[in-house]
Amino acid sequence: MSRDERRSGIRAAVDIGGTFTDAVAALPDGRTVSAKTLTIAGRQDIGVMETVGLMGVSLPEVADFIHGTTTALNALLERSGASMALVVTRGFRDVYEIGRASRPEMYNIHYRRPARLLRRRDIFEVDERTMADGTVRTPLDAGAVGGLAEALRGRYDAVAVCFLHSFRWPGHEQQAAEALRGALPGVSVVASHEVTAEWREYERWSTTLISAYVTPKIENYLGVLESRLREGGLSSPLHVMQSNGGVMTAQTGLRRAAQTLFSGPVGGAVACEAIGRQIEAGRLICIDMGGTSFDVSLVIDGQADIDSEIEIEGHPILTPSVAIHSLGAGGGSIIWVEAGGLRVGPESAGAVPGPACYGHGAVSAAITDANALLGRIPKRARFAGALELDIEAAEAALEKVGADLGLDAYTLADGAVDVVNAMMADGIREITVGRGIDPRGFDLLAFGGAGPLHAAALAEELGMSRVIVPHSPGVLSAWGMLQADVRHDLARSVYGRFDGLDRVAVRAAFGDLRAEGRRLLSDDGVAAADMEFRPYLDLRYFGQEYTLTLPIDGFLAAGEEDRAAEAFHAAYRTRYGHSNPGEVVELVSVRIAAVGLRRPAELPVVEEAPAPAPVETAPARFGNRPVPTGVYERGALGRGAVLAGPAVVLEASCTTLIPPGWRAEVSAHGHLMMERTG
Amino acid sequence: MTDLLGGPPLRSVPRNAGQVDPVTVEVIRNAFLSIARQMNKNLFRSAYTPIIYEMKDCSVGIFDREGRLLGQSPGLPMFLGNLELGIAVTTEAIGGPDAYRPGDVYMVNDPYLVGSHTYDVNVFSPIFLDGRLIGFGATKAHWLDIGAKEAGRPVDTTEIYQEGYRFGPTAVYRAGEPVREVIDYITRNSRLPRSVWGDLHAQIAACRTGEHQLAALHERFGADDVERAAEQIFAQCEHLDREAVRAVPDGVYRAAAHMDSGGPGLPPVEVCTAVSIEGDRMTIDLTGSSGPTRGPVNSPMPGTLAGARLAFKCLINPNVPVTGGTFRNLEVTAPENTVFNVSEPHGTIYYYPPLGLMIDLVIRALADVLPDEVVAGQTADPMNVTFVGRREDGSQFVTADATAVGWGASSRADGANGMINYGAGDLKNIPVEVVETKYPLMVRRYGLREGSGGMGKHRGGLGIVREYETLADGMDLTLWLERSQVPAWGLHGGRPGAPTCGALTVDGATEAVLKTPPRRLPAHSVLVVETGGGGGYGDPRERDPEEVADDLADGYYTAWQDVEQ
Repeated sequence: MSRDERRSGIRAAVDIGGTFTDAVAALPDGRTVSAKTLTIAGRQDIGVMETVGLMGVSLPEVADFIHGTTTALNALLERSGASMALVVTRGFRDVYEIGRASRPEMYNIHYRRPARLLRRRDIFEVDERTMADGTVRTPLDAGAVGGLAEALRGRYDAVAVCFLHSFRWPGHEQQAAEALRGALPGVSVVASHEVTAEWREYERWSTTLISAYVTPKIENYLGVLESRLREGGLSSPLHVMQSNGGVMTAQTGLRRAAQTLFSGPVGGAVACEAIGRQIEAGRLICIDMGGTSFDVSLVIDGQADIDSEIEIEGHPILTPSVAIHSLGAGGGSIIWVEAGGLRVGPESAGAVPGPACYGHGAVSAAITDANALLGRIPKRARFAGALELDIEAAEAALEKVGADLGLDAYTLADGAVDVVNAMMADGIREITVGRGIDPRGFDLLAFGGAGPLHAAALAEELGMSRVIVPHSPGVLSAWGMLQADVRHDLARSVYGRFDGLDRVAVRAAFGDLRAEGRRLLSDDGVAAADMEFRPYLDLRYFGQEYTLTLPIDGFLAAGEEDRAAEAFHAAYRTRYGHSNPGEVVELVSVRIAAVGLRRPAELPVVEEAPAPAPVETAPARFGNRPVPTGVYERGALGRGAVLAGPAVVLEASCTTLIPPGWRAEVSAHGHLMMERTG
Repeated sequence: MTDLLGGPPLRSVPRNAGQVDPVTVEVIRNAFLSIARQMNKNLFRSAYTPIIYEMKDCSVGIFDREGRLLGQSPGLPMFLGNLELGIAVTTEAIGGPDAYRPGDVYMVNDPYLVGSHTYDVNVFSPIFLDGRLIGFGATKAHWLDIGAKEAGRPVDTTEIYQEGYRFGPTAVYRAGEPVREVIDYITRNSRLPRSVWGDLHAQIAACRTGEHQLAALHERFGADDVERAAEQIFAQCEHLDREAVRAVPDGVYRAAAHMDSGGPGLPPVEVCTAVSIEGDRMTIDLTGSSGPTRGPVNSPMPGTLAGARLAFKCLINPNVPVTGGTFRNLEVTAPENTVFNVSEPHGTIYYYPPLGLMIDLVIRALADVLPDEVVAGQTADPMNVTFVGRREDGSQFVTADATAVGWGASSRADGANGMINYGAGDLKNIPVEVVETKYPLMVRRYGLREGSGGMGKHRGGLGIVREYETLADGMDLTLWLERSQVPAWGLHGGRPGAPTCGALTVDGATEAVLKTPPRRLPAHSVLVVETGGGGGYGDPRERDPEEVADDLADGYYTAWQDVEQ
């Protein structure tokens, strides 16, 4: 199906979150509808079908269905994945347990590494050895593999085959995997070179194991969901959101399960990329602040920032993912005192009992309590099923903490919000300034329950002058999924100095990756005309470890090394403040993003409405002085409506604060565009 | 690089006379830590030496105008307190703080001034705002070659003059201009000039990051408030430390043990610790320890201070960030002319092992009074394996691998299997695929050393087995293995872990080996390194039978003998 053919039907996206399942559909007449329902743990498909029903979408008319699921991530976090065996090169049974032998907590002599996904008894060695140059030192003992298959029979859901240097020459892994597949029907067998062709055995094997671990869960879930959707009349392909910000068909997803780990969270980042295009802002800092965490992602020159490697709870995963930096700061962050000093977080009040103002009996004061006491969250806002915010409980909790500091409740509330804002600004500086990016040239895009509440203050901290609170921030992730292209990121380690580069090997690697990308895209139903292949090089100075991933124009044809090297020196200087143009540049890996272009969903233009009138005017505190502040319903704001700060905008999923010195205008597509006036 | 701590000043909050309000203090405290993290990120992502980027053998901090620590990024724990010494000795040498100029960068690596060994180079820069000195950005990082008598890390030096170039306080940049003679000297006298040049500049870049950020913080809050906030932050740290020490019963607690040797062919090194608790103060006294060794196993006093601070930090508020207020209630005593307080010309390349053992002993000394904070013994030693050779193109390479050990068990849990010793922090092993791709070496086996953890109600962690084969002729092996005689002890009934051992097979003949000066090996020589396991905690007969069964099923042990005895 090409981009144009898809224009006719409904496009629908459903995003599973921890609490809510959100759905958005773009209708052929240009309208957008959305729905929200509670997520049922273990039965995410129920929420999917419910939201489809709530939107009134008829499945037979759906031309494109996109889905973001937390199934893989939950399986990993809850340790409910497959029972696995790991088959490794003899002598290396403990590589997976030892990892890199390091620990992040410097002075903790009690440190224990995170629990592994399988036990030592489930790890088996076989005789084989491939050397660094791809030659064989010890042939694979095929008889032993056969014997092993017998021993494994009936005991495991999945088997991972991980041999040294398979990124260089996968022959032994292929042979062993083939033999095990033949002998163990029904068992999912994964070889490490199929998951990623990058070096560093522990990281590659960890990635492989995670993939094997989540595959049966994903398989089962997508199987159930697809059959329910088909029963409902869906005839178009089911697409799954991937960690890299692209989509793939559910069929491909079964083979690339590790790519769905961040299937849920990346929708927001893709939405930001799309909103940036819409409002012609190519440089965005996107913040998602909820109850317990503060997530930051970047859009740089129109592209969501992607990391080639991520870590989840101490497990390294070599799959390119939208870079989401988390900080333990949220509305639930607890305000406390240590040695006479004020502290905020990292402990969180969580959802139960939650902040004191939820009225569930909490005695700790949290950031949400501070915002409630200051009137920045109006009493009429609704949280977590609470009837009405219990401002007295918030005040009592803050008073208690303040007593230890000699501060009254209001002063403490004001100060604690300043502290959390400064911490979040520090966090943003660390991921921007630390790599040569000046946030002052960026716009701040805020979503999540508390993001739009703190956004203006954060922008001031960072010297940024524009804040965007997108249309319907409550279903932003789902909407983002409608914007995503099909995408497969493929990499291969090719090691060599630029001054003696084996161009044939590099071109061969690019050729292989392109062929593999083309195969994956056409499996996903992408027409050849919609395919795009974007080459990248992982480069560094000879002798270094960390690489910079650089997009290049061609595929490193003859003579292009110089241009690539120059680009590298420049990028290095931007990133680190110094460079070394006389130094030899070294290639570590080649990458390809194989992209299947899709039609983004247009946002409908918002109607004009009568001049906005506040639903109430209540005092909110700024600079510790009460100021009359209008409270507006977001739904009643029409195109071009202008609000001068101080004002609060309420909607079901979040609260937006327009402080004094700021104004907001509703854009044609319903975004709240906030700018500093003072 | 841009400075971005702009933003409006915070609103005024009531304060006590002379005090900065608690909100501003907390914002500034977080900013100090954030600046140090940014500096560190910059350093280890742009460094050349694997030991910095991969093993994080570095330390980074931001300091006030008096050279007191404001914020430090967790780096090599063994460098605790070494950064400020670099600033202090330089300030003194150049005639006081007024002699600094904007754009200056200084380096110092003399172990007698700043601790550790010549390979660890302090690089720092003064930070100015409107012509006034407001602080320093400082780094310390391990360089791969500084022109010592051999490549790698010689284990048989007898004087510091064999340990490479040694700089007292030396300007590398003056008022923004590089001092070419100095940079020429440090590159010309290194076997790896590119790497040294790159690491120096990575350190300078990290300092510059700190400069911009601290200046921006001062612009925002005013020097007066930042400086007074720092005092309050120091006071908070000091208060927490004093409270924690006060909770330990008064008394003098002792522990002693010895190292195998002070170098190849040298006698054992005795380490004696006496930890006194008196109210809210702790004293670590190393009186009774051996005299200086003839080899490189010696620590001048600044390094000893850092090691003792680490011992303190492991037990007292390990989660609280270190600042200029930390360690104010710690005193360290080491008599002159002991291995912990040597003077010129003793060598110091292996300053680390006696400190590792000392830390382990301080923890043991307090085992009865802090039973839930301590851990049983670990073989706190880097266990270095270094190969030096030439690539096919003639260029020289030096590998440097620290080997993990088994950690001691505690009242809470089993000790961790195969982890880098606690002085070395986030140091990482080097992947086998990287070693084999870059060097003519094959790693034949890398795994846990079965049965090596000391038994106990909670068992010690397992040590490591790592087996290397040389694939080319003429590579030089330098080996440093320790704790073959005094393995990691158990606590409260727990059994000791297995001792360290090593074996080298050359041309078919195998010999035991622990420490060796550079030894030229033919191709296909095989080195097997087995590091010690951690000590157990509590009586092995009290171990949960299910845990025993699990250990057997997983092959961590082949038998649980002690239960029967």
